[in-house]
Amino acid sequence: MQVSLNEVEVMSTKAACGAGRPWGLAQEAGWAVAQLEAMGLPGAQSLLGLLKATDGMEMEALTPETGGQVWAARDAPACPVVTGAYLADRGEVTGSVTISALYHPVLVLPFLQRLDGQVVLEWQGGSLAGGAEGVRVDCEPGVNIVRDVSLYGHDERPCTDAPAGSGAVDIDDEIWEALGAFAHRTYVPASEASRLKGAGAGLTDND
Amino acid sequence: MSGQAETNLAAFMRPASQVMRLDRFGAAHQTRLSFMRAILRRVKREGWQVSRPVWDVDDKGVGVAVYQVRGPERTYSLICYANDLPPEKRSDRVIATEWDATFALFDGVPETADIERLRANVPRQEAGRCSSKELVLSRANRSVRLFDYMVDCLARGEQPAREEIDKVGYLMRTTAVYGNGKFGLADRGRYAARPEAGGPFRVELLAVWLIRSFTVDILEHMARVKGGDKAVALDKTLRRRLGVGNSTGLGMAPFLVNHPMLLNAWMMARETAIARVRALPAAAALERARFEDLVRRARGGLTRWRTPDERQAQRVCELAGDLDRLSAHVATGALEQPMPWNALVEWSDKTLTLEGQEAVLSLMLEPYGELVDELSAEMAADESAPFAIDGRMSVGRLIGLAREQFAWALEIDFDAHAETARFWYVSEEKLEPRLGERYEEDGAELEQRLGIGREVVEMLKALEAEDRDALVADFLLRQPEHRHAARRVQIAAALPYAEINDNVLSDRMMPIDILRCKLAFFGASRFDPKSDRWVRITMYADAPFPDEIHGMDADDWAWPPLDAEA
Repeated sequence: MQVSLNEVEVMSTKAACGAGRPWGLAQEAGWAVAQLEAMGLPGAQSLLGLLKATDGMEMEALTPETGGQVWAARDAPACPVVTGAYLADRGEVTGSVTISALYHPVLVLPFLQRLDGQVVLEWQGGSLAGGAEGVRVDCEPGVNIVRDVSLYGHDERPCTDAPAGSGAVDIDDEIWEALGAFAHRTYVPASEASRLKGAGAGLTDND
Repeated sequence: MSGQAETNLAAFMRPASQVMRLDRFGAAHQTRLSFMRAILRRVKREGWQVSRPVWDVDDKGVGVAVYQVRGPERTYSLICYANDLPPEKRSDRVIATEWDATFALFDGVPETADIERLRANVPRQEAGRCSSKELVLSRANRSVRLFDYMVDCLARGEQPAREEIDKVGYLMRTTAVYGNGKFGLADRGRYAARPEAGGPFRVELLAVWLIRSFTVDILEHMARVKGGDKAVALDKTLRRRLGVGNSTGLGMAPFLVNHPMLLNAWMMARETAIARVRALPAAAALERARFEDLVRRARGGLTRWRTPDERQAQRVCELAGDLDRLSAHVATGALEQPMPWNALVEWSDKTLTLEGQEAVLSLMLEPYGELVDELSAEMAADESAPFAIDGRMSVGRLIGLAREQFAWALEIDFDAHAETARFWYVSEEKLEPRLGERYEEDGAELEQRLGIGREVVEMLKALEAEDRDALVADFLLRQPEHRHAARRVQIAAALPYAEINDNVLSDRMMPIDILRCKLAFFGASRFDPKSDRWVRITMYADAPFPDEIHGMDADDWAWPPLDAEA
């Protein structure tokens, strides 16, 4: 289905919210998915995979402990939105750490654009890099879990410009509907009372 | 203006604690910076030409029309689908499925294939799909009373009575004007860099201006069908009194809360304009005369601001008294003193109602287009990326900013039911925003995050347990439920007018106050509340039509000329 980037962002934000992500993180997820889709990368598919794999889990279980050299979430791979937002909040990556396991690493990519300098995520068989100047994808972008990921800054390899997306994108109908099912959880069923009172109408509309 | 001059303006800027209150939002008036006015100034300045290359409408009023507007660099086309709507289907609610007319603003000149593709989609509105070639999707219903009356008059060869026109003020009212990627439309990013389209709501309100022409053309068409050779065209002076009506419901209220950076840009431009005028050392005779003239016009125009809503009717009445006091005050020579505008604002704040105070501010910008109009170019905000949270900030600093920026929220007892009586939600049925009663209805666990004050207070409680030197990034990693509040605090610290300084969950909150503020920025007038949560307005009333704008002042209509002078 052809959808606008705004529709992608709104749908992804609602879907993340419907899957239990707090609002502030759901907004990050929505933005990240729209960024990826604008670059021709499988953002919506990756978010759907993430939400399905983590549906019903506590955020705490998906949040990496970042105190030491190895970042690991308690009982699952780390959430890429949580991880990406944390990196963006920190603004830089100094030295290097290892993330023991990470869901859908491509979802981290948009957040790297908010960092000073360039950052690389590298694992057996693939890598992603990004910074304010652009991004680079050297992996199967739809990969769902990667392990023993090295995260380090100041890589010398040049990044390509992230294309500024402003066109409609094509999202597989099944993916769109599945995200819609997550989004649907955020809606409140209507009653006749809310129909009248909640929207504040009820007076005649004609004049 | 030089940096030094702008620095000195700080003394004349109103604080957010005064400006960003809902009662003042509910008294907002259009100004020179309002979007409709900025659009028409550009249309005139750049010599835009409007034509109607397609008019294919049958005797029942069913068919298609295309209006083309050619600017210096680009052409936009309003494609109109006219319908013969059975009366029982006419509803302004978002739950309607058919309308008297539906519209798409097309980016460029449509091919026949585009018109056919859209014919299958635009009349269905939310149920259809647009493409990135379309910028705006809209629909409108007739004011049956006025439309039928005017068809009858024109068909008989007579002009309608001015009084009858004024009772309604429009032939059609739009019930939604969608843009920015909704239903497959072009994303704002596609046109944000264009000077004529990048400002806020420029394409949406350009569409409305063209819709206004369509409403008159379809009227005259139906009069010709009915009256044949006897039918006459509508007199141009009467025609100008017609605006486009609009019913705005709750759906628009969350917008201002959800776009803090944009809200700040709008407010900052308006408040800067006010401060520039307040900072003037003197008012020249011509400027004083212009102001006095507009005060008289504003006073005279109140007879056309009609509303059955008791609260608003009372306020219009008080505004009339305020404008009389203002005229009397100015007649004493108040504007011949040094710093006249600043003194006037101080007088007004002590003497007039909120309606009057905000009207004075709008009126005093009028003589100073050269000083303030450029600010209308600064009312867009780049919202393509979320405001980047500074996670390297310390927890102690975030606490300090939150206490400073949300002092108003700290005074509210959110444990009191009255302060959390409402919750905002999205209904499953039509995906439209609604407002529920938290302690009477189900669904509060799914509420939208609009109660920013309450969220910040909750975050502060959590922050109190943290080490003051800890980083915000680490706090948010462990407690992501506060991510939204942390971002809002940092936005508020950077952008003074980003946040409504009031509790939108309270039982006293009136959604129409939020709607009025937004609609005043659009340039709307004659606010006519239909309940505490939806409002009728008129857009472009008294403004020039495309076929006359190049022969008259494009920006002398928002405080309409008195009838004797029209």
